[in-house]
Amino acid sequence: MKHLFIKTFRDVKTYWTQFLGVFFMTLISIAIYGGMAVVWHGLDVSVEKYMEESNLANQWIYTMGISDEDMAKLETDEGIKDITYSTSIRGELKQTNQFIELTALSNDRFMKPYLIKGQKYDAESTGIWLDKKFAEENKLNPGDKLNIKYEENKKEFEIKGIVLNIEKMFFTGSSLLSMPDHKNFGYAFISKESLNDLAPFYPYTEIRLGQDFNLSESKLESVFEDKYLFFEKLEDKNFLDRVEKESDQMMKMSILFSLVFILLSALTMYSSMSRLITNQRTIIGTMKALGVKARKIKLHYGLYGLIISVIGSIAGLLLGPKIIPPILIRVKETTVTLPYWNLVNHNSVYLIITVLVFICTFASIKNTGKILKQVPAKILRNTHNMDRVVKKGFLEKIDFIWSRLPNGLKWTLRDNSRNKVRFLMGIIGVLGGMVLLIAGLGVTKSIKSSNDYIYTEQSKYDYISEIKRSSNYEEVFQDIDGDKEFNLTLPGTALKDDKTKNIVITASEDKGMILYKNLNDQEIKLDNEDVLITKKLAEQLGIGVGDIIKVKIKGIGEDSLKITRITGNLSPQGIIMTKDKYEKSFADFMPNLLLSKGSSLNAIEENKQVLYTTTRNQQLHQADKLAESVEAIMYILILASVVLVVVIIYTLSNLNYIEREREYATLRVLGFRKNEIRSILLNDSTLTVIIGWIVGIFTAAKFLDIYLKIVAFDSVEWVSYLDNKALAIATSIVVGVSLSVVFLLSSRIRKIDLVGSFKSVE
Amino acid sequence: MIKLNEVSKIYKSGTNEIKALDKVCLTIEKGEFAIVLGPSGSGKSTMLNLIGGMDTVSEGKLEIDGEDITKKSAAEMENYRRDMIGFVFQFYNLIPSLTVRENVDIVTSLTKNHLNVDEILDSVGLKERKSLFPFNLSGGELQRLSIARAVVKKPKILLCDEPTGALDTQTGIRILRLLNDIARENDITLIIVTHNSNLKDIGDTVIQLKDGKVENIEKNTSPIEIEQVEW
Repeated sequence: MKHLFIKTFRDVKTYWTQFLGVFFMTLISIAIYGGMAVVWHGLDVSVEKYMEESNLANQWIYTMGISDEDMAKLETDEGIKDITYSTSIRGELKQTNQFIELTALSNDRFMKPYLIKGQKYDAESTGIWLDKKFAEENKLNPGDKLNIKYEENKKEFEIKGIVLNIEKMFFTGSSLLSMPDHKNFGYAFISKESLNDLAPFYPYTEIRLGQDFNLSESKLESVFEDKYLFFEKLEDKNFLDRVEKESDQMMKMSILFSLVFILLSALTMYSSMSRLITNQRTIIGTMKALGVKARKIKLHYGLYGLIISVIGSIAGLLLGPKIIPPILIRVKETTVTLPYWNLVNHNSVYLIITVLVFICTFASIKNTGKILKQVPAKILRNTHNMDRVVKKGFLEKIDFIWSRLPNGLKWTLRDNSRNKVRFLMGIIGVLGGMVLLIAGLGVTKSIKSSNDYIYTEQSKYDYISEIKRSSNYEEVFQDIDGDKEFNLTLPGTALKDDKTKNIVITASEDKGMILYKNLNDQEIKLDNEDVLITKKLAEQLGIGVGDIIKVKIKGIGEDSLKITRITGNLSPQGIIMTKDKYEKSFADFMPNLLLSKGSSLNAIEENKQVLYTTTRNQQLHQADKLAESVEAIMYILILASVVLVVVIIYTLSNLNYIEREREYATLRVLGFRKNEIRSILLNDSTLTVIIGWIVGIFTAAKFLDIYLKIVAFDSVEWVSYLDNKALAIATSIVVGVSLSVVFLLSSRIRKIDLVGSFKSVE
Repeated sequence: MIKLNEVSKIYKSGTNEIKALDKVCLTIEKGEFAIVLGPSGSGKSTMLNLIGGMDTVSEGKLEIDGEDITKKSAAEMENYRRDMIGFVFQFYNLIPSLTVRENVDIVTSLTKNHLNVDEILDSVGLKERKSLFPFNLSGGELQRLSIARAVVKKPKILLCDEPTGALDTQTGIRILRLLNDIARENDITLIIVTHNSNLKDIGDTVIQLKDGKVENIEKNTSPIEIEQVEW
């Protein structure tokens, strides 16, 4: 057995090109999956730890104001001692037009600011604990002073500490911002007393409770009466839902892509190992003839697959988490703020390693076993593949076509029909390369094209402003000139049978600032009874026109609505109705958005009821910036795809070449010139590339479609867009690699040892 | 005419040098039937490979029709193999995915001055089996096909490396007859390498090699009929 071990290592050295292919395929598959898995799994683990360290509440109760009597009722009647009351106002930094959301807490029992530097939060202190990102962007440190204005009141605060708030990990400053603007929007903790210095008599409005108490809706209504708005449980919290979706998106992106990677690698490795073993036929026969036990021979060749796949997996496991997370986390941290992002291996990576190692080892053992089933004399017969049956294919039966084909092509076609697995593997290699590259290049392009649609085709306003809600909005904003449309967008839930989805409910004046289009891309004009549902949401809930859907808006109410039409609008995914329908079904129309066209920006910004204004172009820019976080993942995948394509195409072509080297040597002896043999090699490759390329384009288009559907957040629909550039790049890479490999291999034709090629494999 | 003048072939393996051919001198006349005899390792296949342009000479001169082929470039050697040489291998080396006819036809693309494919297949007795693949043929048929492929381009020299080595007696005799007839009809110099000394009486010239050296060259003025060979 010792000698067989020595032989294994010497064989690895001798056939290093084939082994290297298998090594790289395992390495890339594990590095990509493992590298991405440590990020998404690390996010889950880090957030869980962050939650614990932040003493996160279990129930949030929202009210219009909590009086001392209400507090007494909770503490004495309900026996709740552990409560954190809080309230927030939006302060402004004097002269800089920067906004800080100021939160006052009664204590840190169920909301503990995560301390980055400075002093620990003190609910009685007169100081301020500032958000880390805002502090970094504005170069603020503990000990610095901040002058904050709220309406007509001003107060100077000393920064006591720099903190993070888990509930604001996705803080942007405005609902109109999809990316944070840390320079201009921040948050901070102050004491209730300080808050009341700025906003006298402003009460606590929120309550946080721990695990021990769970107050029901009816109980809350009885305590707070008409001041009660709604409550949320931990699982309802938007930031947790979002973090789960971010992690889920990364997981889906990595799994889906890795799945193609792993599938391609597995098939190629299986084929490589099988063929490597088949090429050892004479040695296997000799060992059997010498009396070496079948078990030992199988073990020896099993080691072929085992050693190389284990080494590749370990290398991938070590390299992946070193290379991928820094890129991925840097991009993801533009939208999510965490105190730490630990990298934690996910158990699934070990499962994938096991699968890959098993495939390699199994392929080796299975093929050795297949050869060992024959008697040594038969194994040792020097057939040089002559025993592989050739059957006349379909095309060959049509003499009219077949007789007109050049001999070279006939040869290629027959050879492929004789080596179906080899041919199929070649096609799969090219096809897989096309799928990975087109999808990799197409994802960002599709997202950007969907963004373009949302902000050019779907939206027609110049400015969009977040405004303070009021029922006399027309009067409040009458100074703003130009065309105006007031809309109300609220988060809510949609229920159909047993399916529930978080959605956005839009009540619109429908004055043409946002165009609603049907599935044929024709404009829809809303009438009073119209209730539109977006296409993706309709598909997710299994809803059609005429169906009844239950819509619930937090703190406002719920109603069952009949869907009248489906719209192809991509974002936000939800329900759209007229303001009249909203008033009939829910409550008074108090808009929170002002969409304007041809208005003066000064007039908008000077209006005290306007909280934040942005342009359509800025929104598009932000959405595209957000798409870049996906782009970073895609760049990693594209790069890995290119390497994988090179490895797969080279490995398969190399094996094809090795198997046919004797034929090429024969042709050289017969007098064929190198370029003539190269054209035969090219013929083989061209057929594989053409078929793989054509099938690859269709498969890639379908894969991209599915990929976008799976990885998109619920709030938006991304439509796949396959542009010529992506197609051209993918084609250039795949065809380029294939042709380069042909030329690389054809250089070996020149070096064929004509004498040695006809000797047996020993 | 083939003329080897002090031809040596040295293989280097690490620090070891193996002299496969050692200063071999011999001449084979045009149209002659030469038998190269010798045990394993005597250098007979090496000599065939050198004449066939499959390997390069280490020392000495190898002249074909007065031209020293050792001076030829790689491209010129390609042309030399294309125009001058026909090769019959012991293990046939046919293209498994081409039919009998296509295996021969593929070689016709190398020269305009080739024999008719169907006629040559007829002459080797494979006319009825031209649509089959090598897989469907017996050992003798495979070798006949290999011969047809070698001669279809009308080579000046036909080199056969143990052409009967993998065949039974009767088939072997038929193959030798076929080679001899085709060579005579087409004025081809025929060189057969074999370790079977029973064949020595059928050649015009018998060259015996031992340890890379010519042990004996014998001109046979009255070769026996191939069918008379005692195997």
